Amino acid sequence: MELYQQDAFELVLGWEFWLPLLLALILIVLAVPIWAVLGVTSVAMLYLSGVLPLSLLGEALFDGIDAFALIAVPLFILTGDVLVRTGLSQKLLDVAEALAGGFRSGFGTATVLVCGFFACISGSDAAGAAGVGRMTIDRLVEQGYPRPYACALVAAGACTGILIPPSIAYIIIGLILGISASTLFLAAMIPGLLVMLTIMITNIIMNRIKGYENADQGFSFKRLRKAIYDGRYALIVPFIILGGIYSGIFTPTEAAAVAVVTTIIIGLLQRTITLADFPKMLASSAKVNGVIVPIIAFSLPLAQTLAALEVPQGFAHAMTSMTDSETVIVLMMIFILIVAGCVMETTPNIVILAPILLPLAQEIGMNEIHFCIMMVTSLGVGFITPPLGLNLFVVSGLTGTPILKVAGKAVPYVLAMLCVVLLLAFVPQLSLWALE
Amino acid sequence: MRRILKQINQNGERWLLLVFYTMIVMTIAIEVLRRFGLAYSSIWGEEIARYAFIYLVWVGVSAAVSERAHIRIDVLLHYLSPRGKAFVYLLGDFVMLAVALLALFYSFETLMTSIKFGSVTHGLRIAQAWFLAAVPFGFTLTCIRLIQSIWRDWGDMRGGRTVFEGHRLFD
Repeated sequence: MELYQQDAFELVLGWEFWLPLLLALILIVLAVPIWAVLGVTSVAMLYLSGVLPLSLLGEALFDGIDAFALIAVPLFILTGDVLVRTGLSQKLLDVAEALAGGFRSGFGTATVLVCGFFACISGSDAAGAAGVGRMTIDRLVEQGYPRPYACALVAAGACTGILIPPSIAYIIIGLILGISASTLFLAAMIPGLLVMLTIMITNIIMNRIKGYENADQGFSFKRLRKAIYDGRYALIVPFIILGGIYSGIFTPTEAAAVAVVTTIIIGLLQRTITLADFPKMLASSAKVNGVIVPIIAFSLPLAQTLAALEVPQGFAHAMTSMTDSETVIVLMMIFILIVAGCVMETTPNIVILAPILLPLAQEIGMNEIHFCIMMVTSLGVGFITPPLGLNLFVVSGLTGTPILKVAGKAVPYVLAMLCVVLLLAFVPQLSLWALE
Repeated sequence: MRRILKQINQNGERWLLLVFYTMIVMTIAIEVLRRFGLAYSSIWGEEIARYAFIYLVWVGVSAAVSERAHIRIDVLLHYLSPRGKAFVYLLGDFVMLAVALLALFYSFETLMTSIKFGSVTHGLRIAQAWFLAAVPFGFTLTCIRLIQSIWRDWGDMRGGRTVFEGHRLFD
């Protein structure tokens, strides 16, 4: 009887599902902005399937983003901007350089390290790519790296922006699946650092092979001490944010606001910014926010429609009836996430795919926090894969290097990150250890 | 009058965004400080931040439209003639306009329902309509910006001029 019921769950998706999907693909290729594509797809699917009223759209655009947790998005974007404009980011780079002084690929290593510092402060990824890219790419070229490679290195390093907490991606997935962002932040620390380390090592290996940089200046403790002293204010900020979140004093959103205020005060006291800088700073961050959040808002009605069409259960059923092997299912999930990361932006991928893949993960007994870590890390690879890799966009826009040239040089990093994804997927302890 | 209109056209969204952004940062920071200093926090502090955020988002869409900053897969654009580029941008604008009009219509409906039933917010106890209005307000601005943009691109395409490619997202 039970078997029969399970079979009855076979999901048949008609043209009310495939037609909007096809339409979406065509519009994406035709360079229609992502939020509008998601809007058209939502409306088409709602209209054709009739599972939910179209007025859902009007409500979702308000209720969907009416969440205190989401306010962290503009705040983290702003923190990144303030760090750059106050020159605190340069101080962080000095510290990173002093730390990496003993390596042959000293400046390359320092670049990745400063991406990691950035990631501990700002939860947004593209802001990090832009901020670090502006500081380091020209200097990387001076050190002997070819420009496309330098761009690829920064783009890869900046992936840590959403992988090392605090992170907008973990806030969103937590919001969608109803898991506390602080818990996810705790679990994500080791996986995030692992990705950073892997990117660093990949650069060291590439540098050994190609011999781009040979800048071993020797590690000097004195230099490090001076850099840390000069950068002391910048270095306090990650402690405020992460310490505040981990100890439960702040919610992530509050931590982001405190970070903004702290960095602004430091900047004002050190006279690196003035009140006159504010309008420009806020306007550019607001624009970035106006680009990112609508994509989330328009993904929500689509995710709700898919849920009403019972796509998540149907998908889980289809997958588990295809194979019994947990390994194969995990590999398939990773494959889907990587492909999705190539053709779509990270946030809609999280909003749409998290509810679809979670039932499948639960079916094979995967812990939901472990699932979140695997999902976000897999999607993180999408930042440096063409055609839609946000980090590639940012660094290519920054330097004028063609996007595909940068993407070519990013291949070793994509492979290295894939290895980390597999490691994280099959060794749950890496994600869950910190929670115990 | 003309000058005022020109100013609004150039900076309207920027001023609004500035106000909303500042409101978000200030209210949350003050709430945190108060919780430490006075061991007291209010329900309406969070509410102000949330509603300012919603305005920030939907006015931000309009600002990003006027600077052509929205994320898209632009691989195709590299292979097109100036005229083809203008055509693709126009298509994108028309699709955005269609979505924006639908969003405007349905969010306006939601707003009207709220006004009819006179719902108020939990913390501030003022009409929810003031905040629900963020969505139709933002999309009205967006529609205006899109029509401006379509008008400009159409002229560029007809006149064979290079089309406006937008500013970089991060400058």
